[in-house]
Amino acid sequence: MTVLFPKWTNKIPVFAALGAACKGLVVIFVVWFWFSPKHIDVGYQPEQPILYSHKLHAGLLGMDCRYCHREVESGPHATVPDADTCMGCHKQVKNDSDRLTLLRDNYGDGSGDNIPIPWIKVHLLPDYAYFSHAVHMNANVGCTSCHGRVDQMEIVRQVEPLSMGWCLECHRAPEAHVRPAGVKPTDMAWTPTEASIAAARERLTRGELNPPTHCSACHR
Amino acid sequence: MSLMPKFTLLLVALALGACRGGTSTSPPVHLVLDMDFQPKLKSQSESSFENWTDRRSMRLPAEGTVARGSLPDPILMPDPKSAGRNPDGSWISRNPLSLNAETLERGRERFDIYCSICHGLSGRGGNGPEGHGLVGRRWPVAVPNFHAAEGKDNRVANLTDGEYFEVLSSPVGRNTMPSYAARISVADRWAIVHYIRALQNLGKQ
Repeated sequence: MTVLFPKWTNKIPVFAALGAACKGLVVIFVVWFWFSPKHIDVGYQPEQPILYSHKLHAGLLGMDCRYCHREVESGPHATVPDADTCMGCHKQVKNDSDRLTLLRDNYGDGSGDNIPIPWIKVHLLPDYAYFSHAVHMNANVGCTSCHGRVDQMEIVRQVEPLSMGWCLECHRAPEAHVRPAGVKPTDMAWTPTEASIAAARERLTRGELNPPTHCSACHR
Repeated sequence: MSLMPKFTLLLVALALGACRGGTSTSPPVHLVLDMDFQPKLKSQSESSFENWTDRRSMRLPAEGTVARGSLPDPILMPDPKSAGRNPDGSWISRNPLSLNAETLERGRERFDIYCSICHGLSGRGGNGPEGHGLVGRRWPVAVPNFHAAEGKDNRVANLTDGEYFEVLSSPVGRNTMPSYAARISVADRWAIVHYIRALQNLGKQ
């Protein structure tokens, strides 16, 4: 009698079941690992219209972030500086640099097309999340907690996922990110110490520091 | 042998081998959009409305608009049309902002952010290797010194409080100094004047 199905075909159902199980696991892994904001959003580093270096201005020259991002303490947005802020210095400093052509054209004498420099926003929160820079600055949360070491970046990129889970992690345990009075929020090199963590914990227990975790804190 | 385990192994190797969160110049792709990107206009965003030729989504207020709560303070700005002067035209000689630890600390903070870049943390300014500010040390920009130098006539060290305030309030700046009128609030300007006086007093010792 001819063998229609060789002996090994008995194992097909086993292999199929194993394969399906593996595939399921792989799908779960891929979604969990690759669809996460830690992959999708982290690392966004758009090419800006002007080759501006935070590493030079905030790092080497040591300018305070607030010199340019002036609404950061009073409003929800840190605000990108206007051309006037740039030209305050660049009328005299490096005023013939090729990198600043677009800035000079934009600033000009008012005869230009009056279109602001099309800087590209790097940190994109979902449009239904309402974040306030002022609140975080007033609680003395440092810039580096969310933006990383911008003073070491030639071109700014996103380093934290800025996902809801990531926000809540800090809102539930902010001790390592709240700086004691007297430490500038814009101090890029600051790292938490045991004393600063203890001080923040005390402010939390006293109720001076009360990071909200309810929905309407950010969604309204 | 079935290809399935090999394929699985390949996928796992790819997943672990490639770097997660590597840099990319293209905007993040959200696979489940929800309402992450809405067509509404946000602060400092670009508008495609063709009538707005400057492409700003934030429209400029009509000329002459005064925002609520931003009328000139009669104590900090007695003559709203001429910063730093009394209504009779004389310079304000005495800083109208009360001097206390809080205002002085605020003045120090603002001075360090906005002024120290050129004038240095000490207010000694200057340029070249002797320069105190980061701009003067690197570029030949003339930066005044707030401290009276011995044997030299230093005009900037002998200004009245009102004159310092006027320089900070000027919409066009002064000489090489850019305007800070839009960047530093009226109360903060007076706080900075307090701090300049404190620096000058320290310098005399």
